[in-house]
Amino acid sequence: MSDLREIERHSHNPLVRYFRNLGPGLVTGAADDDPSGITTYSVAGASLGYGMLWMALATFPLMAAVQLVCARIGLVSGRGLAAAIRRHYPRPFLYVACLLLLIANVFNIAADLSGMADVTHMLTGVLTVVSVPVLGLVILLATIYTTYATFARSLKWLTAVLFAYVVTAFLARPDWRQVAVATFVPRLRWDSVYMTTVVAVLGTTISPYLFFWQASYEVEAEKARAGAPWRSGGGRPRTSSATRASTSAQGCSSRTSSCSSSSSRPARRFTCPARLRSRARARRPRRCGRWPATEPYLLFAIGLIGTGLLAIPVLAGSASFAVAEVFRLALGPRSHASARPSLLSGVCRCRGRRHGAEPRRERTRSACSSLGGAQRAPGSAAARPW
Amino acid sequence: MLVGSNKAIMGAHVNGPWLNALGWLATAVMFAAAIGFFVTSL
Repeated sequence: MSDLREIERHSHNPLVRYFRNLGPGLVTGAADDDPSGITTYSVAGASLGYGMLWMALATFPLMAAVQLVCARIGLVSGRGLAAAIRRHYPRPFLYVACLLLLIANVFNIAADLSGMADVTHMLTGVLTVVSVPVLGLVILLATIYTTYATFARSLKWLTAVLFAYVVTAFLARPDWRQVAVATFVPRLRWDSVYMTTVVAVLGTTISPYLFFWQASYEVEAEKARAGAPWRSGGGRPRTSSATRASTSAQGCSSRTSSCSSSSSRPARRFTCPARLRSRARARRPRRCGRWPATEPYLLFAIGLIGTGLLAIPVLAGSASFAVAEVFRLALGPRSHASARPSLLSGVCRCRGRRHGAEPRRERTRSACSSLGGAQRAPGSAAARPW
Repeated sequence: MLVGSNKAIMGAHVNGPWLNALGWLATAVMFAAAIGFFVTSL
């Protein structure tokens, strides 16, 4: 994209350059803090108090490493993860990996949509039945009809909503000494509640979409930047440092916000006698007290909707990238210099360069299936991923 | 996923020791957590 190249050219200040290079990694990490993730962290806080905080710190290097590995695969091979697996490993391996990704993403999108709809319902009173399709449609249209540059730029800015959670943590007024102790001193408990929460936190932090999206997005960003993907055989990947910077920054932001969202939960729990048990109730801090008590609630809700807007296109996009690569379809925002080089319309109008014989309807359906998930109601999406 | 980065695909750009160690640690931790989950919930 010409405007992205334009941006690269005008960066003299190293700090400015750093923030401009914060692209793919930041978006991936921010999308990792989606409504379902936030809810998981909230439930962790509500059921175990500060007991899980150390995990926010401990999972950061792990997540950053996994993400960096995927980014490097994308940069070196010039392809997404699915294409790399396809070329070098047995087919069944690829199919299983992609099927798992699809299932996980459809569930995740459904959970995100229902989370956003619940919050919308609490804020405005609009029924969930109405808001789920409306939200799904809005996200779908935005994903298809915006260009990659706009999409990438707005995704980057949307990550700012994560700071809503940092503010929420302060507004919730937790016991900071206790928070510090819980963050730096790991405590493990061997029981079912604790282990379930550990699995939930790990699963939502290091999720399958992350691997695929990071590699593909890195390839797309590189294409946009240089006009051609970086291939193996040359020197070190040029964007390696940029990638590293953005991955670590995203990791920090992702961990900070998950940390603060889970630390704000117990604070609310301790100030209110009511126990937050169910997921739906966990999303809603109890309004107990004067006006400051409603502030965290509002911020929490706005943050939740914002992260949903950010996460759902990423989830759908990562599934699309993977599916397109599995079936060897031309994909991405610039599959051809066509009339509208948009992120997913490139995928949806996939021009099967290599598989001309494959029926067009079939191709389009497979590439768009992940987007279909975004429109389904949670229940039906869970029942049938295709 | 990590295996993909260690093979012929990456050429000279295979993961460094730190990245490798952390990546595999992540895999091991996830694996251990899943086992722990099944053991405790039985």
